[in-house]
Amino acid sequence: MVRTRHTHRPLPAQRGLAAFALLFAPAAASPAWAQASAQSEAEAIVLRPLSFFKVNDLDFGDIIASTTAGTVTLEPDGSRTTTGGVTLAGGGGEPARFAGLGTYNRQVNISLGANQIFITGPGAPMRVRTFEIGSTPTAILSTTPTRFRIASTLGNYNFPVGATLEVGANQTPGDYSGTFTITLNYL
Amino acid sequence: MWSDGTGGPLARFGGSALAGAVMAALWAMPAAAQQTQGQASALVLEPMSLTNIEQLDFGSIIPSGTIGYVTVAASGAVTTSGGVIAASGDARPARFAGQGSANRVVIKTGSNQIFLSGPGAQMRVDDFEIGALTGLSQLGNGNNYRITDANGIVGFAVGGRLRVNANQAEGDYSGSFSVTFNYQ
Repeated sequence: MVRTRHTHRPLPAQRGLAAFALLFAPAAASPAWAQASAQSEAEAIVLRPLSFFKVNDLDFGDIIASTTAGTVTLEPDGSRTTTGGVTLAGGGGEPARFAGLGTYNRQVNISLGANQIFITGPGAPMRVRTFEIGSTPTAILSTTPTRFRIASTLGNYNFPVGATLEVGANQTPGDYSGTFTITLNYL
Repeated sequence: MWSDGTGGPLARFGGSALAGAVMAALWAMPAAAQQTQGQASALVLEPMSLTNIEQLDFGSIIPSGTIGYVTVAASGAVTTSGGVIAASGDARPARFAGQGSANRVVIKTGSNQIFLSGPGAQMRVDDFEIGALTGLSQLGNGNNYRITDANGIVGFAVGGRLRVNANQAEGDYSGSFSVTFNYQ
């Protein structure tokens, strides 16, 4: 399992535990809270020449299925939209993010290993398609390489990738996951 | 598979896609029915709370053959020293929001240094700096503060200094630190 950088979306088991801890806290804590503490993540991205790597996984967040099939689209900017009988739950959802270091004005080709993948879990596999890169302007990625130019003078870049998830009618609840491959070629 | 005609590296990396679970919890509080009379005096302190709003982000960094440091100040200013380049505008301090009622409070990080882990050697973060105060004023040079907001609502940022090793391996590095907020 690949580690995710952010803590916004704990693993399901941990999320359950956190929710219960929160519910029990009022009964268990002492009458006056004389101390409070909070945890923060700290992070850094280290770039080497001609590097390319994943920074974040793609996460469609929490979804409630219904008797009608539908889709959830996670845009490269992190916003989520739905069609059909799907409801979004919570504020989760995060595009994949990739980073690397080339040189200013250098061209790169970016392509997908497959135009669609399936994520698997307790129920029927769900299709993920229409991978969209958050370049300026955005573009739909495919197995045919799309050419981009590195616009930052230091040669560093960092881009999100969103996609569309097809949720079946009466999709079985649970955690679904899969893997997609993105290839970047320095020209 | 197509290949690259210029001899540059062809890199393949995976991402993983996840869709989440749906859960619901039913909750009932036990009923309490107790009555008694008496006299009491108490110093009433409102519960304190503290929430992390934004994480500490050192942004994208280009290392070299020489050790370097990237400092993100509580103000948001980013500075470097040694053989390191700060390559993006993503760097920002952590931000916290909280509430308390006591006049005087102590704010401090849980430890003086932490380490960020990733594909290469761990990177040390130290010199945590608390600043960009809202609803708070600092008393002296230590960790003592006074809550100045009438409703006790406070906010502050925490910066730090990242030590980047020579030839630090590429990748995403992360760690965590805690901040405590105490009545004095």
